Amino acid sequence: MGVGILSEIMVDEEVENILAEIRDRVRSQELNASVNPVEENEKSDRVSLAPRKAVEKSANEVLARIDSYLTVTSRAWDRLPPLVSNRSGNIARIELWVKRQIKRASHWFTWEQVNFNAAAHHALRDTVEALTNYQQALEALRAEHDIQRSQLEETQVSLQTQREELHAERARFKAQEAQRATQVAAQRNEMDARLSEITREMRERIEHLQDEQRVCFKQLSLEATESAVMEDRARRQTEKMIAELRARLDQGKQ
Amino acid sequence: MTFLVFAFTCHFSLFNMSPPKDNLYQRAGIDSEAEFYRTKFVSDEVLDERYFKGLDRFDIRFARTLWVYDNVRAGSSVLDLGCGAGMLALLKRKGGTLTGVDISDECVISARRNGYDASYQAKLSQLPFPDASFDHVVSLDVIGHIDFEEKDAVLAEVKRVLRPDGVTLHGIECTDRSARKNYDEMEPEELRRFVEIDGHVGLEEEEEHAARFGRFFTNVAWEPRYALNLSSEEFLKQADQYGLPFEDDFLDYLRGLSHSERRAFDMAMGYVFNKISDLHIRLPKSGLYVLLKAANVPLGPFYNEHRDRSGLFSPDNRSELAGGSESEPVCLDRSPRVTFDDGWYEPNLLPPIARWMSRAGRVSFRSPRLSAISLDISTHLPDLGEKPLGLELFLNGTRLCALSLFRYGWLELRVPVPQSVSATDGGEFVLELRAERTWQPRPTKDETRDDRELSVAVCNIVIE
Repeated sequence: MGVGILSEIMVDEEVENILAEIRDRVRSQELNASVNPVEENEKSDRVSLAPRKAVEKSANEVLARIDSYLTVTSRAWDRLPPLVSNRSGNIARIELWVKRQIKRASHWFTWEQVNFNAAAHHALRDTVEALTNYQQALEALRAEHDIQRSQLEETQVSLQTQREELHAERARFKAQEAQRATQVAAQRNEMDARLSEITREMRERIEHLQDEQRVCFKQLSLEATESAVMEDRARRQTEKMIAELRARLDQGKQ
Repeated sequence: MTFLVFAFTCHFSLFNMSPPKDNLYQRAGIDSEAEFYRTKFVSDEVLDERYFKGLDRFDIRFARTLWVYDNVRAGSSVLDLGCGAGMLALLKRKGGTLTGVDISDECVISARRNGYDASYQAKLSQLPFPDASFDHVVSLDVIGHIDFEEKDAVLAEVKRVLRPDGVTLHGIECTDRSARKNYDEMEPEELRRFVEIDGHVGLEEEEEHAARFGRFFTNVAWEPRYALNLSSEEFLKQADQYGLPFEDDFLDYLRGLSHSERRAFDMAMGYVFNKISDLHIRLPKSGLYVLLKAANVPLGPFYNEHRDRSGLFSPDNRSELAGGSESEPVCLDRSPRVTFDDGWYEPNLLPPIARWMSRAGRVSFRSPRLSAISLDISTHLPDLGEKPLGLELFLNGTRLCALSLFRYGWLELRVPVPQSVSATDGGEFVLELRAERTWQPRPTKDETRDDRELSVAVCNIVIE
């Protein structure tokens, strides 16, 4: 009798402990979920991750509940409940006897129930195990996905950075091109102006040189004329002197 | 005491003797003598005798030239040894032939351009002439530039090309060994500075020069000159570059002289120089410069042996200008029968050869005919763009034309002469140009100072 009551009390405490453990686990998961740091630059992902978190949370809760149920089934999946009474004395004996009779009489039924309980328990346990495996696989996939996602995000960030750099580079090139175009235009204008200046200067110098040459050539021309006149005069004088000499010679001969 | 040597501005570039290994040029850092003399002494100076004005005979610049001029026989053949740009071109006025020889081809061209009958590029120790070719061999400021080792070879060549009765005449820079350092005593830097001034590498005392000539000629006469008479430019050069101890206030005074004042100073100096020569006053030895005459025949008077200066003056301008034919135009620029008055500055550079005019200038000439006058005019007035230069042209007081120059460059002006003017005054004409303003090219006090009052440059004055 006493043992039966004690065992019933122990079963209740065990159930209480399991429930407390389940509550703590759920709270800790919620807490972890709430304190999980989110990067500023992942704000946009938070929206898309929220349903996934909710699903994970729900699945975990379901698994926890199933676990809690399994604590119940694991406790009595292979037997019928013990015959106990809260009474004492004869009444208790009568009661236990009646119960024993009922138990024996309903064995054909209760035993099937026990079998069913056992089957349900095993099914649930296998299901939990399978789900747990799936969950672990999902966790692994998720982790891998997260890694890939972060890599993708990094790639995106890198691409974004590169794109921005390319934009900046293109803007700089455009600015440089514009500046160069301006410089080229300015240089061209300057060269055109310089060329015009040089052309004008050259023309002036050529004119000046031609002017000087004209004067010099005129001087040379005049000098040549003078020389010709002098030469002609000298020639005439020489011829005259020769004629005189010839005449004197002739006179001498005569 | 600073090494003091007299040196004139040389108008020649010298000889091209292959120098000994350790000659003074090389010691002074001068690798190419020809290049040294070309850069130092070749100029575009107009020395053509046709542009010589009679008054210039008093200019100290022509004093040595006049000494040679008065000592060469009219109609003789003269060789100018180291002719440079042609400082002795005036000798053409004595008739005869004038030949130049120089190391530099540029000098040879300049000399020919200034009226030399012929000029050759050659070494003075290897003259390209046959024996006894010249009545006179002359040089100015050459012997002092010849290295000691080469002097005798040059004098031997002078003797060879001189006719037996010829006379050689030289103006030579000297030194005074008692007061000045020998070349061997000079530090390298001191020697470099000294030679770089004028290229003097063969300076000797007066007696040494005479003795050297005495080894080749039986008769040698010499007179120390230029101790008293220097041009204003030479005074400053001797003081600044050779360290001659002239009084500071006198040098400052010379530096402050205007162009016309310097001209007056040089004329006075030249006048005194000529008078010393005329009076045969023998000056004491100066260690600066010597005039030397040598020959193998008895020498005549040292000064004025063949003096005939009639060629220096314009012939009587009553005689008509010579033309080839009646229709031949005549250029007045070079005609000896034309007088340019003091309103004109003598032409100084070529080409083209032009005379600068002050505010007004006159040209006097005589011509049996005159139907037109043409001339080339230019100006360098700095403010011509803002203010044209007004000019007036008069003939015998009658204004022929008035014009304004408003651009630089040469203007060819041709003015017909009215018959009323050309038929008057018996063929005597005075052409006058008047400018409304003048300018001074470089009036500030520096070495290139030129404070002449200039208006226009004129050349190619042709009468038809």
